[in-house]
Amino acid sequence: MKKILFTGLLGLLVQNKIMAQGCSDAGFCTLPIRSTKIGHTAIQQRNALSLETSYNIGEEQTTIIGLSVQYDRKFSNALTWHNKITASNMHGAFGNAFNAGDIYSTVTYVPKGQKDNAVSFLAGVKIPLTGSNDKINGVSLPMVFQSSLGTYDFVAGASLLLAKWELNAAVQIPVINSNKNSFLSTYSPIPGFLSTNLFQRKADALLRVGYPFTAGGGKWLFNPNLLGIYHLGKDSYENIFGKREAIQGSDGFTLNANLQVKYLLPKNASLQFSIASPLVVRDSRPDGLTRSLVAAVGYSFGW
Amino acid sequence: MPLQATVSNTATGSGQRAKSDTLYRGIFSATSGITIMGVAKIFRDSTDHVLQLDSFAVSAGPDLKVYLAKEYPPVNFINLGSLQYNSGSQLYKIPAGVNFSEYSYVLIHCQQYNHLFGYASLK
Repeated sequence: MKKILFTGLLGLLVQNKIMAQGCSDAGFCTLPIRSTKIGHTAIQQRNALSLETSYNIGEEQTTIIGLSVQYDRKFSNALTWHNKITASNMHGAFGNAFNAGDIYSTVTYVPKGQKDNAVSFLAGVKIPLTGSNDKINGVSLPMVFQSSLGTYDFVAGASLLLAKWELNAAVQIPVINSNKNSFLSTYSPIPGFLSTNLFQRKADALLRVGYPFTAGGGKWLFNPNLLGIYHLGKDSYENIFGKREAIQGSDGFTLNANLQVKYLLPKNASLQFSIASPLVVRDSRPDGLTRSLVAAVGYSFGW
Repeated sequence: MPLQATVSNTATGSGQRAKSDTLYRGIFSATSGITIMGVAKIFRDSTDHVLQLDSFAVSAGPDLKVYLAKEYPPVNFINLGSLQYNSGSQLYKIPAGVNFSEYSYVLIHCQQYNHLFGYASLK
């Protein structure tokens, strides 16, 4: 039973990481861990609710406070459904903006009969709640001030336990683009941000390697990890002449260092902490997801 | 030589121009369900061409842009930026090198929903 539960949790772990920040760069690191090899967790129950907030420093020193609420429903030891809604408050050179972000809905699946239940899979969707064209006093805002990428995404991934190591691999693929952003740097009153007028974003692929361990008699779980994300193409925007233009340097590799800490509380509850920072970033980061710092705290409980 | 996106749509003033300064002008007409009024004027301000929306007013829209276009609805156009105000005189710098015999329409266009609000044919 324990093994089955653990494998289910592992699947959830992958799913959480994918959803953290619309899938890119340090955003993957936002969510705290929820799985553990030892001790109870909220998701071991049939229902679980998680509340999270994060502090992020983005492009041009823009600060982003992220908020999310997640509800998980376990249908069986093999199948769990995860639903999450996000919102963000952005503060920086353009002023202050707040809006809802995205809804995520995914399913994790743990195949039966495998040794140690070491493999799990996930699939799901991300649904934007905005067109990514929020403004302040009528001024178009760059993507770092937007609470959503404005894309309907397909998400898929897998997780593998290998001795004491955890490996996660995933992709996030924009399927429908509803991004209506209208920021053109040419007309911006503030320099330093890339044009993202009618922005179109490419997919991401990620590989994460973690080495989780416990302390304090199993009450504490630490998971230091490295997260590599490859942005699988150049993003583009429509320039002032109505022509689509690829953004040079927007493709390529990002590497993040991340430490996740979890503290188990009584009654199927837990606290999570996470801190992350990128080691390698893309030359151009028009989507506004890259963070120089991410710090997150979360609380989960199950029933 | 391609046009370079090096202009700003920041208004350079909203004063009236002498009639003799105006190179091209056109009166706005509305599309269905929209109210629009005013005159589009092109004049030269030192080194730049400038578009002035004079005595201008338009129905509110979510993401109104000012285009210089070869036709309407817009296919070949230059985005001069977001509409600054829904009413009142306002100025927009125009990128260098525009051929006004080709780009002969000023459009007020909702980019978010791809809906044309109004147009003025420059003469």
